[in-house]
Amino acid sequence: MKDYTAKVIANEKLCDGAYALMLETEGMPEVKGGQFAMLSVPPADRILRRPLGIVTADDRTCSFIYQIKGKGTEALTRLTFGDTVEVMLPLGNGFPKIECERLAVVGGGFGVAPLYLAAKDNADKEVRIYNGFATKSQIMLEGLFSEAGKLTVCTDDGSYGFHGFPTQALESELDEFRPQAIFCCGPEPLMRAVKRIGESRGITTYLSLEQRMGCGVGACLTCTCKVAGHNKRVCKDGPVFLSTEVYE
Amino acid sequence: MNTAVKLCGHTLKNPIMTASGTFGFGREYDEFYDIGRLGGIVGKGLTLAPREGNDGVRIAETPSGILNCVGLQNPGVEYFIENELPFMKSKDTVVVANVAGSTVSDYERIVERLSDTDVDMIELNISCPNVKSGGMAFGVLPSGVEEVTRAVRGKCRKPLIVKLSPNVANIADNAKAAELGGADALSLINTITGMAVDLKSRKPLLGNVTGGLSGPCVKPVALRMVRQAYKAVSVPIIGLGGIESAEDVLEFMLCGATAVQVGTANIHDPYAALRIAEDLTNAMKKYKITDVNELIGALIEG
Ligand SMILES: Cc1cc2nc3c(=O)[nH]c(=O)nc-3n(C[C@H](O)[C@H](O)[C@H](O)COP(=O)(O)OP(=O)(O)OC[C@H]3O[C@@H](n4cnc5c(N)ncnc54)[C@H](O)[C@@H]3O)c2cc1C
Ligand SMILES: Cc1cc2nc3c(=O)[nH]c(=O)nc-3n(C[C@H](O)[C@H](O)[C@H](O)COP(=O)(O)O)c2cc1C
Ligand code: FES
Repeated sequence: MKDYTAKVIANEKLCDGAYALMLETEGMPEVKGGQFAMLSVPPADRILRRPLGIVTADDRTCSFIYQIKGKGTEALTRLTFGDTVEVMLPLGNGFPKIECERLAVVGGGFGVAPLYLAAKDNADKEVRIYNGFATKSQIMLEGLFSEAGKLTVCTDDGSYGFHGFPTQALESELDEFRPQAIFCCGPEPLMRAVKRIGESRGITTYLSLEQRMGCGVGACLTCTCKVAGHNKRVCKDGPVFLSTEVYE
Repeated sequence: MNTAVKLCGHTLKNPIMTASGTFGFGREYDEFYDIGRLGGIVGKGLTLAPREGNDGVRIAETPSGILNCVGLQNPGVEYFIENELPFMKSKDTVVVANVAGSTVSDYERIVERLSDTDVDMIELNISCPNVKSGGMAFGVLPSGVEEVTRAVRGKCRKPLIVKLSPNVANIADNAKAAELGGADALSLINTITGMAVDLKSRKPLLGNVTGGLSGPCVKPVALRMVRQAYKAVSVPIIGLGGIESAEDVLEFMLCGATAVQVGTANIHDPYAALRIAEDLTNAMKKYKITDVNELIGALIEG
């Protein structure tokens, strides 16, 4: 991990309330799928950095998608080409590179962010991706994800693709696909549902957790969650944990 | 130009130390820079037995500050001695162990145990607002401050720093009480108790309901308290609370601090403590200071 002063090379609206940000800096390190970055936000009185999952990365650039939530992300939308951001990365453990033949990837909303690289890291396997969004206008990164595996886009209201939750799309293919591992990132109800499906079928399931953070590097202990009965740091010990150890 | 200061028999190459709880045991930040370049490092607050800390949300943001309610999560003093202290001692800097307890006897035992190690100094946290039983009780009233300091003094074979809480009626009285109890130095301030509310759920945002406020927004309070304590005691004072720049360091020293600690700044800028230490000579040049020691307490009043 390192701290960079990076240049904004794109900051575009993806859909209502959602933006895609691309940063450029010299000597970008190697990034594993599921790792994240801590970004400074423009208002001087907002001193904490914001954690965002890394969507893509190469030796010069990295990109993010973000939802306008509060003061920090709202201010991020006003960044334009040439502005600079302090960005610390890559942080966290990321999804593992596991030994298996068939991997299911399940994402919900902005939770899809770290899953593209996670799927790419496992390109030697048969990868099926189930990404869910509320409605057609909120669908993100369809083109990108279709390069990383067989993609099923789901909408809760049926306005596009599979009508229903991504868990339902996954379940409808489970008997035929027989995945040996599942990666999931999304809202807590989605992750709890995926945990249930994975564990009831004996499929090794990894979930990427979200928690409010301070330092992002493991020093301040403000980002903990219960993992196998103990408080672990989401930023350093996670954000990716085995489903059997969380949400008890 | 001289940036070195003397504190309890140790020489700090610069007056910059790290504040407990914001710097782990130094390992994470040593990946960014050599932490041996700092005057001193203070580890996370330790208790006799490991502690899990508080559940739920532990951090919130407020303009120019943060609230935390970690609740003294730590691996326990034995783990520290075995696994963290050797790393800290391998660095060319002064190593301080910060300790907390729920009873006077807890404090006595942990300080006794640490006195057998090669830790350089011990900082007594009698003011942690995030532990329900304990901590607070000792830090609030001057009588409690004196009692716990005196008891610990009897067992402590290291320089003893007593860290004061700002959540008190009169900081000067508490500073005097710690001095009377036998403190070799004082550090202040710890966090100011606050709260954050989540309008949507109509619930407190923090898992522990209340949390400790820190960061730039507390600096004016910290400066005031350092000044009042400085006037009340003759032991050296370590000033902290919202330090973000070398200028901030010089202000604290003018008010009476011999050394300072950088806390929340580390959390949002991994290089903060080093940046401040490196910038110190520039700030000294700007204000025509040749030796930082000339500043200590030299505030011109009225
Ligand atoms: C590892 C990780 C990866 C993430 N990846 C993404 C992503 O790729 N895209 C995306 O849109 N969002 C992501 N999030 C959530 C994102 O960090 C928050 O939405 C964002 O911090 C909100 O900031 P704000 O200033 O808009 O909100 P404010 O409410 O103004 O923020 C106040 C404070 O609370 C924190 N905070 C508020 N909500 C959250 C939350 N849900 N999670 C963590 N911290 C929060 C902020 O970081 C800040 O410290 C991720 C969170 C984590 C922990
Ligand atoms: C996340 C966090 C954890 C802390 N943990 C401790 C602790 O374990 N022991 C202690 O004495 N002070 C602890 N503190 C208080 C700081 O050491 C310091 O007194 C306070 O934050 C004010 O300084 P600052 O504004 O520079 O952060 C903690 C502060 C923060 C922000
Ligand atoms: S955010 Fe500081 S330890 Fe995780």
